[in-house]
Amino acid sequence: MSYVYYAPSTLSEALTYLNQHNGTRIIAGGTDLLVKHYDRLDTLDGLMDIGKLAELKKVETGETVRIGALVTHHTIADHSWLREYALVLCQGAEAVGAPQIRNRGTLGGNLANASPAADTAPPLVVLGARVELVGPGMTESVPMEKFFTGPGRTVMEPNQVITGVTFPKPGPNQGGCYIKLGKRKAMAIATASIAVQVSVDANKLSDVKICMGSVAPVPLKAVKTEAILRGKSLDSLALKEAEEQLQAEITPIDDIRGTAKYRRQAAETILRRALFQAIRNAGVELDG
Amino acid sequence: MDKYPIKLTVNGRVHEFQVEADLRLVDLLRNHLQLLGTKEGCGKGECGACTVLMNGKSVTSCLVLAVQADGAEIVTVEGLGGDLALHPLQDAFIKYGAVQCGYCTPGMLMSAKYLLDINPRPSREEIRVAISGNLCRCTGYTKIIDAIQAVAEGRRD
Repeated sequence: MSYVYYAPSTLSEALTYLNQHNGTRIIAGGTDLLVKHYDRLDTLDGLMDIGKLAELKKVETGETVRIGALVTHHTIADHSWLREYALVLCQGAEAVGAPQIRNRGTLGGNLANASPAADTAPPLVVLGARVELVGPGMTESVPMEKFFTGPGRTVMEPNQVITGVTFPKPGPNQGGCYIKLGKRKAMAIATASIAVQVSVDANKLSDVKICMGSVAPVPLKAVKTEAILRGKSLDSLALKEAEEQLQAEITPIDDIRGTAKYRRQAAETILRRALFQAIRNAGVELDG
Repeated sequence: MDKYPIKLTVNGRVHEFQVEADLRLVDLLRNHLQLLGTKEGCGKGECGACTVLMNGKSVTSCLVLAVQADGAEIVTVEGLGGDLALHPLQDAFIKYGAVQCGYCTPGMLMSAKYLLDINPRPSREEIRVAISGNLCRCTGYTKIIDAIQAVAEGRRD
């Protein structure tokens, strides 16, 4: 084994190192990297541990919310302000793995790993979040919908680091919900998942955002389904039409976690459940 | 291979080591400190048998590199209770029949300890979530949950 381990103390040191050492892998919580490289850490050219970068560990609340890349899933799930204003993200974070994984796994790591099943991705998409990328001499803010380019792939260059995500504080007329289906209620990679964020005004869905996981090569924002539901009265939501449109937008496959057929059936059900729960979380009382 | 100096506290005692970068915390505990209570069941953070407390939080030690534990406080199952008495959780696990082969037990105890440290009055559902990262092939979990609930409720029976 010949790889090098380096743990910078500042972001600037981290970026300098990355720029000088091609092929270095970044480790934060290690809950994806060390699983992928179980028993074969020697296949890594080098490891840079960003765990000491305190500036990436903050949650800043306000009209713009900023969550640092090193914030753990546990911190997000338990954060009382986030639970009140951005519940959909907390539900995503608390769906990751199990307590031990949530104590180590980070938001930035979940995004950089770029699984189409990533639990924090659909919530961040429906919150209108942007990913902060920092590289040598540059900073960029990428909309979540543009961040993932394929299974395990993102727009990131090898010399860039995710420093955090930002999103606008959801208003009091908004509500959200994340639902995950898996083989177990814990420690499961999603078979199908959905995040919905709604705005309700005068008994109408003034806005709706929908993003599904595990039904496409990337977390999928269902823009056409959103368009059908947007503006509809809560008494006549055009659900059947929305469900049909959702089927046309998703492209599930058969894999070890489920079949395309199951995922299509499940998508309709979790769309309904998440939509209704999001509306309830916006403060509206619904029957049934 | 390069070695890196680390200094960490394990069950209250400070230790210094020179470790290779690919040494995992579970290996440091078992092979360098002979603390065999922490088990490796899967090596991938899925079974929870290697669960320890790191800076007060439950973690799967198979997914922590020893170098990442530099400066940390680690508590293993050997750090529960003392020479004169078992920890209430250990006592309850025995009394409630929550131990069969014993392989999952250290991890279960550490997850339970973490739960009660952050939530002294958990509901039964919260107990289930707290051990959702710990697999048991023997007991069917019910008695483990009963034991943890008994300690949470302060029962001494």
